[in-house]
Amino acid sequence: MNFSTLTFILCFSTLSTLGTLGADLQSHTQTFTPLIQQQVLMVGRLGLTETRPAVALGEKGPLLAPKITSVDGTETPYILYHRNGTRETLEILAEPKQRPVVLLKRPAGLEVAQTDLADPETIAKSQWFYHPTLSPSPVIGEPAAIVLDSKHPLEKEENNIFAVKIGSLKAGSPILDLQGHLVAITLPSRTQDKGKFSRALLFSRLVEDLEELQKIEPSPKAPPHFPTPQAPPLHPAVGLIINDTKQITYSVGGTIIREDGLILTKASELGPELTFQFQDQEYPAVLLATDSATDLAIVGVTGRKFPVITWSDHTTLKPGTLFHHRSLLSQNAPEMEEMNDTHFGTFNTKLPEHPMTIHHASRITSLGLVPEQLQNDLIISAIRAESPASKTGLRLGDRILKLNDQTISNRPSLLRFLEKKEVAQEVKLTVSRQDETLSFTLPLTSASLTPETTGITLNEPQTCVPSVVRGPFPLTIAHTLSLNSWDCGAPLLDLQNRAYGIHIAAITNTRSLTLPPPVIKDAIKRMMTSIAF
Amino acid sequence: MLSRFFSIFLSATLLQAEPKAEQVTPITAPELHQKITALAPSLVESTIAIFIGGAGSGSGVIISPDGLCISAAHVTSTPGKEVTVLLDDGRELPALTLGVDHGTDGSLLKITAPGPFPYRPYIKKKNYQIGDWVLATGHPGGPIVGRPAPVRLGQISAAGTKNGFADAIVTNATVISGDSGGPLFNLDGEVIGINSNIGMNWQANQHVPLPAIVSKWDDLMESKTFGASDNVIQNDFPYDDPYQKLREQFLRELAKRPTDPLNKRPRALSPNEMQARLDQWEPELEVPQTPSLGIQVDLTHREITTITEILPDSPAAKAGVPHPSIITKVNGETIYSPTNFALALKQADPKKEITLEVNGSQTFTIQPLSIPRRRHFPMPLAGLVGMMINEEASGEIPTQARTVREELLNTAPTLSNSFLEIRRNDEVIVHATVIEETEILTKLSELGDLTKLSELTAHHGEASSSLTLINKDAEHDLALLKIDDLGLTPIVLRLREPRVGSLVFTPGDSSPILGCVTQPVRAAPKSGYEHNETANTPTGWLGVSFTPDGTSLTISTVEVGSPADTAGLLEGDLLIKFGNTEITTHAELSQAITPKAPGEKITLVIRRGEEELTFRPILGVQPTLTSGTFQQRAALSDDSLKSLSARGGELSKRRNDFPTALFHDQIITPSQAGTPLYDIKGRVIGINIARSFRHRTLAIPAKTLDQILWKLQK
Repeated sequence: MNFSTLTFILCFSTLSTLGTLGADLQSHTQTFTPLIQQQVLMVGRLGLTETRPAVALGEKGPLLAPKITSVDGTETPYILYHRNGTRETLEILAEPKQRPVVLLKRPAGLEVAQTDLADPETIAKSQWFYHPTLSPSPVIGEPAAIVLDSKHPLEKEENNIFAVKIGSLKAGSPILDLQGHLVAITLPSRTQDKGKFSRALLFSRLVEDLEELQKIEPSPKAPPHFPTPQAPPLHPAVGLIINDTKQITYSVGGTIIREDGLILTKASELGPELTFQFQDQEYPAVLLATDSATDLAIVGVTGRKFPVITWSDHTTLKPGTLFHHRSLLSQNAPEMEEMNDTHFGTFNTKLPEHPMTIHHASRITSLGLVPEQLQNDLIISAIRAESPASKTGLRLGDRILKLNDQTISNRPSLLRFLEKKEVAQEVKLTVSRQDETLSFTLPLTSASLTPETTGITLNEPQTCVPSVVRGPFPLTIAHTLSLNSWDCGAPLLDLQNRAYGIHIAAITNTRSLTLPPPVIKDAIKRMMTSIAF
Repeated sequence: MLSRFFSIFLSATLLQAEPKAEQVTPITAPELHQKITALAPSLVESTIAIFIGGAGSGSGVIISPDGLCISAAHVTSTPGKEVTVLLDDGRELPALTLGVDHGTDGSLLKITAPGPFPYRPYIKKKNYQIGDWVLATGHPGGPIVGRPAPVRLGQISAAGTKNGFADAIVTNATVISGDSGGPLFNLDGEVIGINSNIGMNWQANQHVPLPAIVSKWDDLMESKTFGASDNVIQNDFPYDDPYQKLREQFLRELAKRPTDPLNKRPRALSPNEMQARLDQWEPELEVPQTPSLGIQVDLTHREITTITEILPDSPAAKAGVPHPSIITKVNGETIYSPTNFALALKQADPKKEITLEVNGSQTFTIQPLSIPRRRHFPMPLAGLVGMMINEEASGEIPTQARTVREELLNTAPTLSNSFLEIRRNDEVIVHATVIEETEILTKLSELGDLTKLSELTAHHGEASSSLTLINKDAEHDLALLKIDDLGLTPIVLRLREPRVGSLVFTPGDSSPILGCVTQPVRAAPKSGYEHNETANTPTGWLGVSFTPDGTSLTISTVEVGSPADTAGLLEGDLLIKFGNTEITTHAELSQAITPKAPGEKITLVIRRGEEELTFRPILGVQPTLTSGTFQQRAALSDDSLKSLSARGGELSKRRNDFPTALFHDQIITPSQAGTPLYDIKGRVIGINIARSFRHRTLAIPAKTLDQILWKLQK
């Protein structure tokens, strides 16, 4: 089923005529995830690579988006990234000072499923919540991941504030109830919370502040309640490959692919000395083969007959399918006890090999130089090698005065100027150097695209330890399990312990990547016959 | 789920072993206060600023009466360089850099003018431990005329050993750019460390342990430079960590990484960049070696190991091993599966010959190649994650602090009746101090639109009240507000100015629990450099700097537009005479120029190439830092201090430009402005007004408040 073709009308009517949903949480998430994905918009700011999820409130209400800030405080317009790659500037309606959100004017004719407000009475009783997140490296057309989260008890009762289990969520994200109605917005994480939970401010509180929201009526429907699903036992065909017994986090999972002891794992996590820990026994292991396209490796152990993994067809996975993961480290180190909790994630989407990022969509033209803002001046701090700018007489330290006849003294106006131009158009750049004024004519080039990266930055707190090698991979499955680097190499398992692939990268606390069985089988075939000693 | 925050912090492993705090005799708050205030003047006296050319500066400490000083390697950077140092009493004296150890980040230098100089002793062996109280001095943001080196208070959270840079003393005494090279003292006033670098977290401040510098003392005194020129750490660890070098190389790369110009945020390396870096490091590292034979094996067969190909020119090809064939023995050991074969091969000595039997009957002796054990990386990359995104220092309060905290908490309940919260919609935006039963004083700029005061409420416990404005003072950013009588206790101001080093605390959830007064009360100007006026009788200014050349004076920079520039002096000119006197050292030139006033014409003879030329520049006035080419640098300094500070936490919006301020180093949040600042006896010495920088919080001193209130309450 191709969920991206669901139209606005279709999902609205589906929502209102839903009768029996299926008695368990998974049926609910599978039904609702594609519907809620239709509610999420990708919003960013001109000149910044960060994108955040936004929702459209009510039938005609404004867009509610997290505030996006840049390190140096420059303010540029908010933009909406459409699924087809076009961009649209959004007008700010309200920007409350003390809240991490901003209200933007809904563009006319915008196709999006509306987000209703939840009834405040029902929130206290709700146990489960959804929050949408986007890939940290923003990909055009990738549906938002709808993360399943549950309420977390707060030590100190605070008015209008509650907490969810996943810690260190970015501020300003919408938190929805199981119906997809807006319940709260996440607040900035505080050091004292230690990433153990995230606080959220009830939306009703926000409505009191902002006039624009007071016209929207909350929906009376209460969300259903489900018990926590039962997690199946540890999968028999999974073990732990230990690199260094002193440092247990330097290990990686291994999935057994052949009964005589061939184990599949993540190649870049292996060190020179390997031990395979399986069912409380340790076996010396040796690296046999690696595959660079997928970062997979085959490790060999001897000693017994091992149970073998069987793969299930990943194409049958529906968005919203629940997965579970159990960390293998707890039996090795008592300090890992807290990670013994099995936790759940939801399937998001399959990722193509070369996703189109927002940089492809930006089409921003470039002068081929880097301007730095110094008080009221824009100073050239770098000139891209082999760009037209490098062939003119421009020098580092020159102060930008004008582009054509327009005075340019800050980055936003520079970006606005460049946005309207086309690649190869010539512009006249006037700069001042010491006391001279100089002019150069140069053609505009295309913006250098940010190289492949999964977009996680050092400045934000993460509650998981991400893998070092996070791509590129051929086809992968993206999902919301919160994995750490040592969880890779283990299989992706649903609630019936069916394996849909092997975890290949831990990205953030709400995003991980898995290689599906066809890709794995191809890699295994390559590895089996090409090893040399 | 693991909970970790990340910062640029030079610490190694992901899971650190819990350090054990040894038994220490806890010190009481009055004892601590007494020790610090008694020591502070002497500590400040021995602290120097070091000018390293251009507008750059660092700090240092004098450790002998004849002017031997310690600083940081990255401040002095090269031995044998003539620099100028600034003493606390205002003297600017010439000094010569001695040895530089980039490995530990320690260096020595010697003041070349005659002493004696105020100095402090230093330790030779580690005598400190986690939890010890320490004091850091230095010149944050560069030296400012009229500002003695601020004193910062902290506690040791990691007690480094003799490995210096790689194993630093970590404290929560907040230091920032400009403090590098400055001293870290214990409560006996001994230098135990040298300020080196910081993590983004305000509590991550790293200092080179003195034992590390002492262990290289002789080499440093001989003006040697070592530890590799680009800051690679020497391998001199007490424990055998084969991955340490890889970690450090990675960290160097991290520091060089370009930031996305549109976003200014450093990003985690992309896997391709990572791969490229690791590939280039691998040859330098000792990876376990394994024999390579050059045979291709098929894994699809289970119980047998089949050779499918022999690689051309390989050891196996030279030995004549046939294919396809089945390997049956390796060095006498029976082989059945490929895994078994791989294990056997791994155990074989790659330097010795290997006996291979195939098909059960044919035996071959092969001299293998020795190659790194086939794995791209000598350590699992999971280990690198810890460096890529590093853990902040633990926020644990060591044992010593508990006694002090308990004492303060005993006074706290009574104090809490003298301040309250001001909220807008359940969110605390600022605090206020109780002046009279129905009058409170708070930070004006945090109140927002004064016509909308009705949206704010004052809260104290369960009680609350609305607010109305009585009066305001924009200069000091204060507002006097009227509230209902909530039964609160007005403060009593202690008007006497506290001594430098006095312990202070701010009620509420502050961490660390104590700060100290860092410097005497003075103005907090808008820009750090507004303060830097020229001295009363400015010396004539020429506008050149020199490179040391042993005994000569070669010009390295001629300031654009300076008298030297106008007269025609050029870089590379060698100065040989001043007037009629031959001069050979910087000190001699300094002595010759100092009595000259701006406007005076001087005669200089220089050697340029083969010629000797005479120039007669007219001396100018040293540009103040609010004019000409220096302005940019001053602005950069404030901007960089702000951005360096802001990444660790929030700063107040209005955080400078106060006519008088009490400077202290207790960390508060911007919403804690308006709280009273207490000394350890519970007396109010000021009202917190701004979190200014990483190392600085401002309060309006009690004496100034007294005067302001007299005006506001009329």
